[in-house]
Formats: sequence, C-alpha cells, structure tokens
Amino acid sequence: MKVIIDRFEGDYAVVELPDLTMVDMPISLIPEGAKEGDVLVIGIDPDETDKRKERIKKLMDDLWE
Amino acid sequence: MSSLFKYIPGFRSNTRWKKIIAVLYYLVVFLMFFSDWTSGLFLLSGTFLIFNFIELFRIKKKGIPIYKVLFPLVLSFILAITSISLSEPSSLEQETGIDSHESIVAQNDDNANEGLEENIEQETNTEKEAEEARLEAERKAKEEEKVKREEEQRKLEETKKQEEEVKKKQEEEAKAKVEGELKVHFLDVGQGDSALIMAGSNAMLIDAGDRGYGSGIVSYLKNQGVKKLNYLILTHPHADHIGGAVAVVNAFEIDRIIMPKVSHTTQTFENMLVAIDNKGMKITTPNSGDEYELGSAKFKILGPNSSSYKSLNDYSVVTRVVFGNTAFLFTGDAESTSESQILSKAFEIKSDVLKVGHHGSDTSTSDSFLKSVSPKYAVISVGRGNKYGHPTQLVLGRLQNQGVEVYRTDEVGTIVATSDGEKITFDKNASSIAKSSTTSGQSSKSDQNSKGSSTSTPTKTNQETEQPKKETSPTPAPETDNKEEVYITKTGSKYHRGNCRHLKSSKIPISLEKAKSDGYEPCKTCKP
Repeated sequence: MKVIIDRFEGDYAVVELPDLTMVDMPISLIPEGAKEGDVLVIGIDPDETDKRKERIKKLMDDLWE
Repeated sequence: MSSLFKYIPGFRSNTRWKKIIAVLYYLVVFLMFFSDWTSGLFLLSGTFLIFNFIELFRIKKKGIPIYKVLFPLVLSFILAITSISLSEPSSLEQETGIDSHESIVAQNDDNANEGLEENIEQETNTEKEAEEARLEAERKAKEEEKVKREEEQRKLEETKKQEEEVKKKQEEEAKAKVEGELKVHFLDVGQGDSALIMAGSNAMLIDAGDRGYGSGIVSYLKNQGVKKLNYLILTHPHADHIGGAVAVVNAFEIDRIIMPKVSHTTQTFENMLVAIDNKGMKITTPNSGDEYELGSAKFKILGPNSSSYKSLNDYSVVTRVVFGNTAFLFTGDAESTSESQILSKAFEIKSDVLKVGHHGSDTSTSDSFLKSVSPKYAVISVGRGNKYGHPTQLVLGRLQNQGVEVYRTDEVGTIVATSDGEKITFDKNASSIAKSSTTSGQSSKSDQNSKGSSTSTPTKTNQETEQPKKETSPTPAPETDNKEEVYITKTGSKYHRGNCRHLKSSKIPISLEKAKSDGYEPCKTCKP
C-alpha cells in the first residue's frame, strides 16, 4: 500500500490514502527525512515475520510445562 | 577757542606728552568714525567720561566751578550710552581690538614719529579688519536671511503638500465610495479553508476545503445565486484547500483560475489539474503586485514573493480585497517566511478583516505581521476539535493583545462579513457546508458525524447533541476534522488532554467550551 504525505500539521503527517481519504499519521510512524509529497510504502516483510514467529515459538516451547 | 580746549582731555594742561598722546588718540577716534561711527562715538565720549569723572574729585583742589565738569560728564555719559546701544555686538568686539592697539601706541610714545607711522599702518589694518568684520557680519546676516527665507518657503511647500494630500484623500474617498455591498462568506469546511467573496453578481472563491466538502460548497454557492465564478483562487496544493476544487471546477463556469505553479504528488492535486485541463482552461500564476477587479471591488496579489520555499504553505496566494474604504486580507496558509517577505515590500497591508493564516497555527500570524495588518476582526477557519492544536494559544494570545475581535468557524460555523464600503458587519450564518460521505470505512462514520453537526445550527445545543455521538465512537476518526476535544472523568472536576494519565478510570469526551461552561477546570498534569 502506498500513501502520499500531503502535509505536516502539528504532531501528525496528513497522508492521502489510495481512495483519496486523508488520514493523520503520528510523526513517529513517518520515516526520518520524509517531506511533504513523498510516497510512503506500507508493506509486509514476510522474512522478518517468519523470523519473529520462530523466535517467539522457541521461547514459548520452553516456558510451558 | 582756547577756552574750548580746556574741556578736551589732553589739552587742558599744557603738557607736551599729553598733547601728543591726545592727538594720536583723537586721530584714531577720527578714523574710527569712518569704519564704524558708533565705536568712534563710544571712544570719544568714553574719554570725556573718564577724565571728567576724575576731574570731579579734583574740583576743590583746582577751584573749577562744578558745572564745568558736570556738564561734559553728563553729555559724554549720554553719548557713551547711546553709542553702546546703537552699536552691534560685532562692532563692540572691534572696539576692544582697537583699545589694545591704542595701548601699543601709548607704549611707543618715545618714538613718536615711528609710532605715528606704525599707528597709521595699524589704523589702516584696523580699518581693514573692521571692514572685513563688517562685511562678514553682513554676509552672515544675508545668510541668515537666506536660511529664514528658505525655511519659510519650505513651510509654505509643506502646507501646500498637506493640502494636496488632504485633497487627494478626499478624492480617493470620493472614488472609494462604492455602491452596494461586498459579502465575504467564510465557509465552515471543517479543518480547511474556503471563502466566497461576492460583489453584486460578481463572485470569487478562495480555496475549496477538503474533497468531502466539494459538493457542499457547490450547493452553498448556488444558494447564494452564484452562476459563474469570476475568479477561483487556489492558494496552494494542500488537500484542505484544493480538495473540493474538482467539484467546483466541474459545476461552474470560471473566468480565471489563479494558482501558484508549484507541484505536489497527491492524487487530489492531480485530479484537480485533470479537471481544469478537461475544462480546457489555463491557470494564471499569481504575480505579487498584480491587481484585479471584482465588480466594484478590487484585489491585489501580495504573495507569494519567491519561487522556492521549503514549505508548500509559503507558496500561498495572499490576496488583499478592497471595497470602498474597507479591506480584507486572505493569507491562505502563508507562514512567517512569506509574511516577512510581504512586509519587506511596500504594499498597503492594513486591513479591517484578517483571515488568520494556516488555521491559527503558530507557523503564521507573526507579531510584526499582525501589527502591520492591525485588523479589527479576525476569522479563523478551523475544524472543531482538530488534532493539530489549531488555533494555537500563541496566535489567539497575539490577537487578544491587539484587541482583535475573533470569529471562528469551529465555534459559529459559516461566518458572513458584509461591507458597505465604510463599515463591516458580521453575521454568523446558520447554514453550513455539508460534507459528503462518499468514502468508505471509518471516514464515512465521521462524515455522518460532521453532517449531523452541519445540518443543524452551530449553537450550544448542537455541541451537546454531538456528545453522545462521540461517546459511541470514542476512537478518533481518521478524518482531519474529527470532533475530538478535551476529556473529563466520571467523578473529577478537571478536563484533560486525550493522553492524560488521570483518564485511566473513565474518559468522557466533551467540547472545551462546554467543559469550561460546566465549571470544569484544566488538569494541572496535562495542561489542556
């Protein structure tokens, strides 16, 4: 999913969703250095997801009786 | 003849050296009469005065009748006083100079002939000096006169100028007398800007709010009898200013679209460009200083004054609309960078009404700018309970310090200011701009929310009726004009910001006004 930064207002970046809706995104979610007009890619990282799943599973396996 | 000599100092006794000195002295005095007669008179009468005064003490010794001394004494005294009063300060100075010469002459007594020659030389010198001094004095007097005359002329010119200015002003005022009215509608488009300016049947729209307000703006304009827009000004490419432009462009015939040539990447911006292109229209670049006419009103472009700003807000078209003797200033979202540039230009900027820049954000309405505009009224176009802190306390404080009367669309909805060319009256129009709910998901929920508020009058009861709605959807809607405000608890007497730790047990949203009017006080931890 791609969103476009329309502007910055206060602690938020106002981003335009593909359906033209404007949404406030907390600035903490916005990559450093992003400017108004920049396109942000919101995507899934499958490798990182698998890695985390694996790690948590191991931790859980040892914790249960 | 010889009896007459008895009264002349130097000749009264038959002493030879006294006679010589006397002759020399009287010669000097004689010559003095030619250069400056008052000085000569003073020297002559002074001698008589002094010697007769001394004689007064020797009357008994010599056995002279008293009148023989007293008569010349009084006469010389009168003459001396007359000469002093007649002589000018400059000639008095000359006298002292001559006195010193005389003492030199007296010292040279032994070589009388040489002394005489020297004396004559010195006399001629004195004469020359005196002459020069007199000439100089004359020159000075002339210069002074010149200066005086010049001053008088200047004063005359100044009064002439002032008169001309007064005439000009009167003429301008006569010219400025306009018929009819100018109506400026500050449309309540939530967190965004849109203002309709109407001079008779001539109409201009500055900005068109967010996309959701497009159709609402169109119907408002139609209700006002707008059939054609003489101008559409889109101050800058942010969605809260151009979002509704597609609907407006598609609905009305437009003579001229004014917009800064600055790019943005959003689909909203692209759609707007496409809509204008589909209409076969071209866009006019705002040039600072350009003037346009809107019926009997005029407007001037004051900004932007650069083609490269960091923030898109600073590209905002700044427009000063003049109707008769009244003026409105629309600044879009121009920030202090653009404001200071406008100030550095010699534009007439003083205005009765200021559309406060950037919804009252602290990026705009700098102290110096506000002072130069010195508005009587300010309108803040801002969304109720917006998350951005608009309008900021800083800007509200500045407006308060200047004694500006503030109207806010988040408090009273659409505001209509009417100018008759002399006076401006404000009307808080009940009709508001409906926001369409064409989008899906969460946003449609909040659309309905805002629709509910906009169809009713923006009164206190309106705010109250909103409360339950907010409670049913306490999560802030992703809309930029959501209704989130301050929060109270079930038992507490304070109101809080949304993230305050005191809201753990209960969190009831409430409008700031209602919280205040219900006697709630601001929390000391989160300081809302």
